[in-house]
Amino acid sequence: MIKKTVEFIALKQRFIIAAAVIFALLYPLLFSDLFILRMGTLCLMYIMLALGINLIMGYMGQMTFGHAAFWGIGAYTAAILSGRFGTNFIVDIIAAALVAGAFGFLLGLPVLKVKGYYLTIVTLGFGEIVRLVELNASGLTGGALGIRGISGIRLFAQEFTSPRAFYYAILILVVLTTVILMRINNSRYGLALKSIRDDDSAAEVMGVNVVRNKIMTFVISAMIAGVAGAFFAHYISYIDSTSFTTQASQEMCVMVILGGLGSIPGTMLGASVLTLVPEFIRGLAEYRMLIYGVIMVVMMLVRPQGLLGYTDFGLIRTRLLEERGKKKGGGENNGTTGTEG
Amino acid sequence: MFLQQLLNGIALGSTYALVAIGYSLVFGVLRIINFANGSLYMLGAYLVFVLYSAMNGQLVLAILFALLATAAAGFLVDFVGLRKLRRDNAPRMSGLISTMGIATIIENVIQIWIGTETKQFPDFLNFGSFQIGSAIVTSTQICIFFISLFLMAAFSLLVYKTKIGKAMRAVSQNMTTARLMGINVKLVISGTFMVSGFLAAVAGTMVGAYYRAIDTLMSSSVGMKTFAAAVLGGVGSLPGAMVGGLLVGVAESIGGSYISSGYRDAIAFAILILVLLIKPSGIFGKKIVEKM
Amino acid sequence: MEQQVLKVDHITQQFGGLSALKDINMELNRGEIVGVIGPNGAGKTTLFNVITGVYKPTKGMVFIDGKNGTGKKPFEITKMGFARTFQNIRLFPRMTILENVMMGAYCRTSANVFQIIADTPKKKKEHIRIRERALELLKMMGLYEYRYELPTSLPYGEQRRLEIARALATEPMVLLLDEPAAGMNDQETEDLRKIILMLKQEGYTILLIEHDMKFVMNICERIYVLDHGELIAQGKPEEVNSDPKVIEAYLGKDED
Repeated sequence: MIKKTVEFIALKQRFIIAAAVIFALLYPLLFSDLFILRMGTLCLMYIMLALGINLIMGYMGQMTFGHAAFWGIGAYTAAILSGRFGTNFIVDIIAAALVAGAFGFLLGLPVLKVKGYYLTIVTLGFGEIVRLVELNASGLTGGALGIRGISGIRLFAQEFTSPRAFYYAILILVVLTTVILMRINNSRYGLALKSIRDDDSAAEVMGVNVVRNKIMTFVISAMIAGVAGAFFAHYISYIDSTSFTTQASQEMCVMVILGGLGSIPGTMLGASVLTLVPEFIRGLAEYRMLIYGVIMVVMMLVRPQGLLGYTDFGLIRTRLLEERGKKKGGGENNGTTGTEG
Repeated sequence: MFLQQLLNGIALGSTYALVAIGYSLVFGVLRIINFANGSLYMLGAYLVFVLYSAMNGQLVLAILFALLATAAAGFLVDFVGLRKLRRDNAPRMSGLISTMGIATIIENVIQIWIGTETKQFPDFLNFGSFQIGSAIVTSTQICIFFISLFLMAAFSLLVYKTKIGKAMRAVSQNMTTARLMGINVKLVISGTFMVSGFLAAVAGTMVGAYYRAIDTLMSSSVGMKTFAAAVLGGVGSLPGAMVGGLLVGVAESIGGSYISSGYRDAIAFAILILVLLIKPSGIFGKKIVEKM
Repeated sequence: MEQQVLKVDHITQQFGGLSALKDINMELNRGEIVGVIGPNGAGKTTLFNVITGVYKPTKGMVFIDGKNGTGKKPFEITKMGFARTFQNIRLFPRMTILENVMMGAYCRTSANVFQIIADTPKKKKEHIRIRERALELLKMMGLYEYRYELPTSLPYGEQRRLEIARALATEPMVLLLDEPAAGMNDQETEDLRKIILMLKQEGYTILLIEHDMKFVMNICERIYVLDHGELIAQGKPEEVNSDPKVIEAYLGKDED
């Protein structure tokens, strides 16, 4: 049953992707309710964050609990820049990516000394320190008061503040992120990450500069979170350090853990379910974190790789098509040398 | 000022040491970090609060029940969250996520059940105070220090001088061999978790009495700080946990007053990161060589 | 001398006061098949780890194709043309068999992260190239039809062959095989022997560690014998075979 469904999705994946994209494009036109539009926007932003963290968790196999720090760094960068210099949205995004990327580099540096378990702890400490700096460096971040009155999306000498504009802005960013991740996945860099995940010392022996790849991954993942942060700052127009806590990092991790490590559709599923379900089911919001905790435990016990973890629909499709080709073509040359065993 | 902060730091640090022992014991035996330990600290304090109100001020009984219940909760952390992972030979990271999940559950159950507002805690260790130079020492601080010292001594004796302790150390060195030697490994592991739950609850209760209040934020920072203490001392080392706890408490107290109180919590995290980067084995820990 | 692809020069490796290797000298010439034998704990795998950069030697030098390779990182050694397999098979368990072999070719690709994100023609071409090379190697090793499976689904002997395919994908000059016949049945060992001889014909230089004396005697042109981290004998198989020191250290202690 599950296998059949997975195969069906794999075969129809192009159709499903097209349908999803069209739905995403029409969403703000179909639903004019502000709450629903807001949910869609937040959901997309969490998808972006979860995709970014999945690069570290799913592809590289490194647990991290400090990712909200990059989100926050991006948000503060955009808020400070646009507030003090009136920069436009593109500049904010690039600056947020660069600053967050620089901090990602900083957090990546410890891989020179520690790995795995201990590195996870370092990320946790890093996240808390960044939050405390945001809370206390009042001159820069507004301290406990945060930064208020952040502008809308400034672009082409205009300021867009409508919910729809924000929705389409984050949609574009999510699409870009997805494309980047797919390209990484299907490249030498993707191979290197997966080999590091599976066995990093063997990867090193097979020619992978493990340290460099790990640091690079922290940088890219941090940049994605930073951009999401810049968007977030403009979207909600008021930020303070209470958004960028370890708990927020944990929520991002749980989205990936539920949806599936190393799986783009899985991440989207996990992020969507966990953002939307507590909001749409009345009375569930209070139990939100409790549910996250239960998911963490249950997933670890039952399916540690997540629902769609390491499920490669592209691969399943290739295999299925090949099997069919064999049946139809009557053993057309597939180059099989099945003489062994 | 300095002396005052030093004394405050020692009192606070000795409670950190108790929680840090829990991290160390579990890490020593299972090589995993029990992230739920910080929330057991909070659970212990809240159970005292709830039972104290429910039992019409029977404080001693309330504390006794609360400590036992938290020890049982410690057992449950392992039983629910980790036992199956051990059987499946799951990666250690799964254990970390699982215990972190349990921590989240415990904290949120308390929040939903009792509420997030600060609760008044019985001030039962307060018999007055006296002065040393310019510093004021309260009886609560003295009690905290000596109770912690007593428990640390008792557990050192337990671990290093008794048969149970011997079994514990055998399991931490090699679980398979220990099993073959006829040691009940399951029992040792359960015992370790119960002990760490018990110690965390004692610490939580004493800190509640110290501040005369508890709130639902008490566990998150303490979990990280005591973990930092355990790492600083050397995870898996009992004396390391004690020294680490005191050092973190003192550093936080003195640093918090001289640098900036806003960065008080950051001090422990900075210590944690620096130790991991410079000497991951901590002060007393043994170096773990990874084999190719 | 120009033929020499590996020179191990007075290598000593200590771990906390214990010497795992003591003053080892050895060399390897292009096109040779050379064996390293010795009882368990003799330091064979340690020697491999020193050559491939996993350990940094306490004393001595390693020269790779005339260049200094001492203290280089494993990935640099691989790039210099040394590829290895592992005693306890170390494939990437959650990557497909095809990806495992493509992983070997990783060190022969060079697209940087910007080219990858921009999906430039260079990157695409390079990726197709290593994919095709990997498929070719899988055909050669008779593993092509399993290319989309996970390596854990293969029987033991085929996992070892896959490891060799992965090593070959790095386009090595020298193959270092760490106990390739360990745990194989007679048929699998025979297949392995054929593969090694075929590789020799293709011009690869092979250094292999082996426990199975018969296998080594059969296939190697020269043999080094290690015992307790010391080189106690070297030479042609028949010379080594009759060396009393070898018999005492190795054969004498063995049950059969």
